[in-house]
Amino acid sequence: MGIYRTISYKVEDLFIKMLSKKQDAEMIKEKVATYRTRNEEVRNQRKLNKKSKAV
Amino acid sequence: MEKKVFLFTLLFVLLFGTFASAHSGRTDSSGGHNCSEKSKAKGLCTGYHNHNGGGESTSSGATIVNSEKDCTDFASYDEVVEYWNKKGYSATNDPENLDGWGNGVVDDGIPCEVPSGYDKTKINNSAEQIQHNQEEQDLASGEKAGYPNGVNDGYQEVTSNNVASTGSEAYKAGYATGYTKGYDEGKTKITGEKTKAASDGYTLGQKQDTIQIPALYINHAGLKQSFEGGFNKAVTERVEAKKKEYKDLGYTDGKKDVNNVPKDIEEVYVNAYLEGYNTAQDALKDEYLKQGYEAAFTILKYTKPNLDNEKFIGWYKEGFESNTEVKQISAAGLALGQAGDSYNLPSKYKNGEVIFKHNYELGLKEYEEQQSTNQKAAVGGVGGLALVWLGRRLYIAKKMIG
Repeated sequence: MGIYRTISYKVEDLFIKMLSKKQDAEMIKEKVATYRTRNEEVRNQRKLNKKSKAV
Repeated sequence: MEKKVFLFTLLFVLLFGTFASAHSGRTDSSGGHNCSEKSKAKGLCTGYHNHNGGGESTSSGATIVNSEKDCTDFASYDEVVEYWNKKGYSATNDPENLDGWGNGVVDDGIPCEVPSGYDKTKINNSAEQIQHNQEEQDLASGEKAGYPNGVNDGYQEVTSNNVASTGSEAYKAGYATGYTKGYDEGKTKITGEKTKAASDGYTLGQKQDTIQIPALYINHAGLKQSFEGGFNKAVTERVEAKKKEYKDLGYTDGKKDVNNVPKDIEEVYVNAYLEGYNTAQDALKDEYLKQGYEAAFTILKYTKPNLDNEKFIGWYKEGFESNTEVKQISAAGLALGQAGDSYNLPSKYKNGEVIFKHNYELGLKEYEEQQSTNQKAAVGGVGGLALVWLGRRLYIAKKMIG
């Protein structure tokens, strides 16, 4: 899953680069990092919930 | 002196004079002999005695007769019988007393002691010989009477019956012998005549269809039958020969497919012609059916053969369409191609190689087309998924910077 996510992030980065040429790069970078971190946390929370249900 | 001589002579004559003893036996040099056991038994003598003048008085007082032979004088009984027969002796004529007294009262006509089992018919005037001679006569007369009856019965082909209703056993035996002999001869004769009658009948049958039985054969059922048999055989042979001729003609015409029944001939010959014609037509039909059948192995679709006769074309087509083997070959070739296997003609379909190969190629084409379709579908599916995935990435990218 790591490779898939890496490839997906690379492709998304390309799209972001194309779509945000005239925007502030640092701000875009921060938005992307925030989005991905939040998603990561949600994903981790779901895993924890699944584990606790299983126990 | 003369007186003494006379007395001596008289005494000699009295003692040894001529007399025939009542018994047999050769005398010795003295004119006498010992009495045999048989003669003793008969009481003819008791011990040594003289004949031819020796004289002997017997207790029985029988007339003494001179004898030249005695039973002991013979080396065998056959010699006794030979002597007896030669002399013409019998029970009443036995001067040498070889058999008793020769007066027929106590005699049996059998000289001396006959050996057990001896054939008494050899002894002249014996009861056995008399009976034997009678039987011989009866046998001969019976045979003479039976022979013509046997000849007649054998010739007339009636059941053999060799039994005489009357006469002695010897007569009946002779009758049976003569009858059987005559019956065989009669049968042989009629067999020969029947052969000739059959031959004559056959000769006539070769010339004409109407029978005319000669007077020679008409009165004997067997001869008549033989003549008719020979005649009918010849007629049948002639008819059969002519039938074959017309049958062959019909066959030839049938092969040419020309039905030309001869006119003004009997129905039996018309039928023979038609039989030959139909046989040839059947043969022709088989020939064209086979041609059509074989053609089905080599051509993919029926094509009209290069024939002038529509009947033959029809038979050819019938044969072509009757070939169900081709369907099996087609199916097998098609299945092999559809499976995508490499071309391999089974030996049992060798005669239909064209059909098999054609259908294999059809099947293989189908297989390849199917393969191509499958590949396209696969490619299309992957492409769609990629697009969806890219779209998702674009959506997320927009969402992140939005």
